[in-house]
Amino acid sequence: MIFTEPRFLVFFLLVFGVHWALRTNAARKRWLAGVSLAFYGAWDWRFLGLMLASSAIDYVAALRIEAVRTPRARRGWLVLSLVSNLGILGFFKYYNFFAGSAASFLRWLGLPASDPTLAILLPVGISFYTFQALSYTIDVYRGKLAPVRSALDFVLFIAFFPQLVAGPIVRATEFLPQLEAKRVFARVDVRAALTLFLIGFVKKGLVSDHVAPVIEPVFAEPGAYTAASTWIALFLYHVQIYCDFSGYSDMAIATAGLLGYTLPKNFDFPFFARNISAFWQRWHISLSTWFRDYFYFALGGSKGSSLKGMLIGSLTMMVVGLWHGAGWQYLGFGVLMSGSIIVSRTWALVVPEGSLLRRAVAFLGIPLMWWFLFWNWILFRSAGWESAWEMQRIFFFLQDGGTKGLEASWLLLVAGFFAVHYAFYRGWFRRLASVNDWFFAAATGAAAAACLVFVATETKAFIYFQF
Amino acid sequence: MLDPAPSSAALQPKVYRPRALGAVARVLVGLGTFVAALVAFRAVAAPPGGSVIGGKSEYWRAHGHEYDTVFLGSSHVFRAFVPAEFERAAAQFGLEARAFNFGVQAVHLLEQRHLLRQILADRPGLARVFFEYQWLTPQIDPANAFNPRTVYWHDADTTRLAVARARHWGAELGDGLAYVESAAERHSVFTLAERLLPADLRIAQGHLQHHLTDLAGIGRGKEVLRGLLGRASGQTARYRAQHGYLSLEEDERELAARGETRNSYRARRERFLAEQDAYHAGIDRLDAEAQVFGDGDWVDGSLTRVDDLELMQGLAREVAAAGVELVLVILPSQSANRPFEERLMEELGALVLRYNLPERYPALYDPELRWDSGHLSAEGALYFSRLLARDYCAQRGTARDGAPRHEPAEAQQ
Repeated sequence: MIFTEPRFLVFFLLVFGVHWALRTNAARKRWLAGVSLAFYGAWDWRFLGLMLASSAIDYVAALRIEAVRTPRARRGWLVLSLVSNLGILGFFKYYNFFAGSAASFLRWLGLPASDPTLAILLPVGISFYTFQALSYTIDVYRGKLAPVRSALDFVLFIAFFPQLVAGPIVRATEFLPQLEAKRVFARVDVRAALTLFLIGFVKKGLVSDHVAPVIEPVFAEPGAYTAASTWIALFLYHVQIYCDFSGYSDMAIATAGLLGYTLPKNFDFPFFARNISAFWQRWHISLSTWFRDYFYFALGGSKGSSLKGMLIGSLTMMVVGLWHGAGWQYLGFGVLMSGSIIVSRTWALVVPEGSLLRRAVAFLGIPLMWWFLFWNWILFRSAGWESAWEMQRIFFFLQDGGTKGLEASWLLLVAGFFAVHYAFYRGWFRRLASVNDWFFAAATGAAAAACLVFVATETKAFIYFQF
Repeated sequence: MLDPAPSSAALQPKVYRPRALGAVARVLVGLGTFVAALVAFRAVAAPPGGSVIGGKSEYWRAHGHEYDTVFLGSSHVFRAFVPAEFERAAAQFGLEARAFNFGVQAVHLLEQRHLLRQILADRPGLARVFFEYQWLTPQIDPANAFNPRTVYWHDADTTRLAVARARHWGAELGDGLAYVESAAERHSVFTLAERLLPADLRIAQGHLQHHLTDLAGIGRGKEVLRGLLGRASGQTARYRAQHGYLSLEEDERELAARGETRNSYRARRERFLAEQDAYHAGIDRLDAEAQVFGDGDWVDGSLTRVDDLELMQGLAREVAAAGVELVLVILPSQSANRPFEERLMEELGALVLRYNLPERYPALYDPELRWDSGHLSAEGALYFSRLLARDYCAQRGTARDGAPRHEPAEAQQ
């Protein structure tokens, strides 16, 4: 069930109505946990058991971490949580990749090996809820959080449907306290939530889903297209991936907001970043901060020499790349990001601040970042290593792969999108927030109608669902 | 990412306490403008159904008054009926006609009925409608469930009929009316819940969903834009040139010129040429057996096919009430249901012309006149159009004796 599907709107109206009609906090939480599990089961009910089992392990592990006295026992329960979560994630997400790669490697060595016969399905949202659960047990272990006693609260924290399948990755410290007090409708900023939902809907249903079928053939068969078309496809994918993922986050934050809960911000105009560090501070913020707090810091990246920080930072980016998917192209994406960390850190050390060179590069920061991101998108979006390789060749050397072409007029859409995006970035629409409620109600009604009419009829799953 | 991220700035709640009545009033204003905007979008939208149907409907709206004869049906009609040839042949048999080919690829019976009503509404003075006979598929193919082609014909009346026929065939067939599930949602809890319902109710709720989608105009943005900008679909010239007809050969040439690699027509043709034995065996079965559903006709094997006499009779009555003559045509397909066809001829209350008779019309099954097992070639279409004109005129008493001869294409120029 995708947020832009009409049946989600029906589902949400039901959830919203019953949620606010219930009188006690406990009843509301039971209702939300139930509908969240139903929402997850709308994809595949068979994986509900997996999610609940992994939640049960974390729930018990956290309670035991608090209960046991010795550091060793505490560590043991933490390790159990880490191993079980990462084990499940590793098996479902990476088994096919590693087993297939191992078989290929053995064949390359001339040894007999067949491809794995065990085809593992990837449970939707597993990377997101696993990281959420890990943050909980780690925070309890670090003493930042008391373990939650209510199993219902814990299930709702893991399964809360707005963020369940594609984030934002919510920390237990951010969400569990919200479950303690009864939500008050009078404190819900309905206008902001509705506006955010509509913005997310436009990004996903009116931009991303319309762009997707245009660029799919180019990424599927890059060798058949001209170099200009490849670049147009990359510009379009640049817009698409942002609209797809940030649109999902917007709608997730808005739906949670309408139910009285606050989710963390996940995007902050990342395409206006002028360097790689700034980009990751603005793109998929909940993931990058998760890796910063639970991986980079845990490995001591913030302590010690610059070289050590650089290497750990580089390793972090490699893992971020693999988090996105099991495939050589994701590893390649991680390597590129990782290399960019080394280059940017070295640059900061070597080139003096205020120098002409630095100012020149800072001036060209946004185009350079876009160029670098385009390169990453090729790896990120390509179906496999071969098509990625072919597309990179066209991207770098501007050689036509074939004669097929995309209309240059698609760049108008890109330009139009960035014009509006820039206006949001500069806050030019902020004054619209002060319109009176009557005007807002009428405008929202008309905008909602326009969204439904102009939504793409072929609803594509959110790109980040596959992660 | 390695520097602190900006602080969380999710929705900052503020105390917002509208009075209850005021809040309800504002919700009503929002709903009012929502409905008003949907109505406005619908009013300005170009004809629905995507480029294929939309283009033809658009042409018909503008030029329908130029015609008194329409042949409505699927791609079998689209590729088989040459209006100019029909007019020439009909004139020889004493009938002056101006004909239009309203064949559209992959039209289902209910969709075809919907189009017929549109045609009659747009052109009340029409003299006759040739209507391709098709069986009813009460289910909706889940692969196309939210395709605009599946949604647009779900107006209130057609939806009511679709639900009624699904209920009827549910009672008639019991488990025989299979409900086709979406492969992508086989393991969804919604599918589990749906399985608790009888097939006819599940099918009915699918039709109702489509009706609501159509009512709200969901996904009709391109048509709205075209309507607002006054831009035609670009198909007008194409339909004007040959009055709606386009041979597969021409289509093939156009696709090849565009470098289109995913050409299903060519694939069908190649399969047809490679499987001549199976084709001839199918034709033998048509002559020998009372009921044959041939592979050559378009059919989704998962959908239940029923011959629905009641529906066809209702359609005939409706057309007659509009003062238009309905001629039901059974095309030279690979399928036959002889007992039902005979009932149609006796009980329909309209003229029925049958061409799925290889013994009687061997030329229509001659591989030389066919593009593939389901469609005629350009040459076959010319022959069929002459044959139709002769048979229709003979039935109406305007024809002279003599069947049209099948002549090589060059001789017909």
